[in-house]
Amino acid sequence: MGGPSYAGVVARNAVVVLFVASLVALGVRSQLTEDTRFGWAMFSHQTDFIVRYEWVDASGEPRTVDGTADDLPGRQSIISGDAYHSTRYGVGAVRRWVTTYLDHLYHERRPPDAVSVRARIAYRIDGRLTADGDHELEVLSVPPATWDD
Amino acid sequence: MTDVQVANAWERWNRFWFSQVPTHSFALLRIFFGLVTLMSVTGLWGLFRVGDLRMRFPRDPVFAIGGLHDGVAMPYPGLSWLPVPAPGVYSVLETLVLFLVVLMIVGLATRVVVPALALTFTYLFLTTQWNFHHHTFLMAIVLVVLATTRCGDHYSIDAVLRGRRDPGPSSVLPLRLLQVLVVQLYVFTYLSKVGSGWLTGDVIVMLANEGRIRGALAPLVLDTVGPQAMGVATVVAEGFIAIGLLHPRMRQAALFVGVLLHLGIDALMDVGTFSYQMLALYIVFIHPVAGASVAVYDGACRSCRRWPDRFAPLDLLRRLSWVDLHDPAVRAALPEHVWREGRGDLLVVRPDGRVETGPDAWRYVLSRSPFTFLLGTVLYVPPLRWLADWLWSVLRSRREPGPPDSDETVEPSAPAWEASLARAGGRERLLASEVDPAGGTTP
Repeated sequence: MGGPSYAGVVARNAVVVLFVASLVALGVRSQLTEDTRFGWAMFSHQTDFIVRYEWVDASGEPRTVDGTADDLPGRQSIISGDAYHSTRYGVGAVRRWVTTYLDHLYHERRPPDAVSVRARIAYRIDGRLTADGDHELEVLSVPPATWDD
Repeated sequence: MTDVQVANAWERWNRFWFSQVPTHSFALLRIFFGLVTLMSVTGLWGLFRVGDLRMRFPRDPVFAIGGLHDGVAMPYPGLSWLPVPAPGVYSVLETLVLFLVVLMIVGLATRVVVPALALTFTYLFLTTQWNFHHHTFLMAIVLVVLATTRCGDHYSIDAVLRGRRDPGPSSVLPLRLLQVLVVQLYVFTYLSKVGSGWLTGDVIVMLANEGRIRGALAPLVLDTVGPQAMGVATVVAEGFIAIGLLHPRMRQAALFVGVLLHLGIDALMDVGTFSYQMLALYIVFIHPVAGASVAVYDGACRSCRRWPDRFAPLDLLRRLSWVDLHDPAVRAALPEHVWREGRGDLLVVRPDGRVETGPDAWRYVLSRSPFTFLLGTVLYVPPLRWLADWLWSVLRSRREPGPPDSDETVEPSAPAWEASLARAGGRERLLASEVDPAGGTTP
């Protein structure tokens, strides 16, 4: 009886390398992007956050997007606007969710005078987010902003 | 590196990843992971709500279908080509998952059922937004790996239909992949928690304030242990398990800590069936051959004869083969002084041939059963160890061994015991040869 063929040897070793590399890559990505999804960082941080969505017109003037919770049923309401939220998936996951929703707003609900839509995210990691508390602020935009904010 | 070193390293690599092993572990994983999947699909989990546990039939939604159809697409890279089914189809597919899980547990048509289950579950997972919950992600991975194995070879209707024909060995690769999965999971959860609010207890406080730490035990644990001690204990435990699982000598302790950790989490938090998935996955770290540990009892001793029947119901993972000390094959395989030590008592021969006697044999037997694993393991730790030793000596003195030999013999419960006993004899001879100044072997 002969051993496995050359192709068989390559294939089975490829399975090992791909499986291990994928798991490690997902874990490392999770650590680097602060997005614990698929990275096994279970409950590593609690992130309190609040998002405000704004349309931006050609002159750069912002105005609040109304009714951002209306079209977010189920658990997606976690990224609804102007409400306190908390997640265990990290601020990186919040960035990803909000960016995806901005993309949806821009393509499905953009008013004629708006040139972009942006989200101001105030968040605090492992601490309660309060109105006068210590927190971080980030601005995300679709299309990506070309100004400093 | 020389060519010889390269060749040796290549051989070790191949032996580690691709050697052939019996398929008992795959079969055990099929049953126990199947039961956990059934718990998921019927909503039966959570010690934190122990008074309110119930199974929901025909099924309990695993995926949040209600959050899907809002026009917000959140596809993952490369997966946008997957057709997203209508809500009604999701419901039908989840019911199909329930049906397939039941077939998987009983082991009917496993070559078709397990891949079909893995495919259906993974499809639901990939096409569901907000599908990143770790308990569903882990379940999808394990089901896919399990689908590549011959997990229906044992303890299944397929095996009964096949008859007594030996199914033969299979590649150890799926077991190794799952071992890697479990270890890296603990590594990354440890790395993400160390240096975070877990060590100060802040995260525990936040979880408690949000109502995520709940259940009847929650107030008691939070008040008596305290948030910081809970956080530190969790981080230390996860780090210890990650290291301990890699070392055979520390593995039992790591599994012990893991069982306590996951039962503790399930008693205090709603994490789906994640805790039970991890406990089921511990099967990939046990010896791949069922019955390879040999429990040798004195068949001439009346009370000893009852032990196999009493322990058999506890031996869910089929770890032990019970054989009579007076079986001629056993007597021939065991060294004389070891055989004499077994009179009126219990001997255990481990799969590698090491022999456990006295209270160590009992500790070993108890820690093979899922029901008595915690008890058996804690009996290794002083002062309970000393108490158990004393108790054993008291009971031993009251038990009368039978005559030196007996005509009564018992059929061994599995052929795996022969290999372990052979190693016991071989090990003894090897040890003797090492101390023999003449370098000869002792018969």
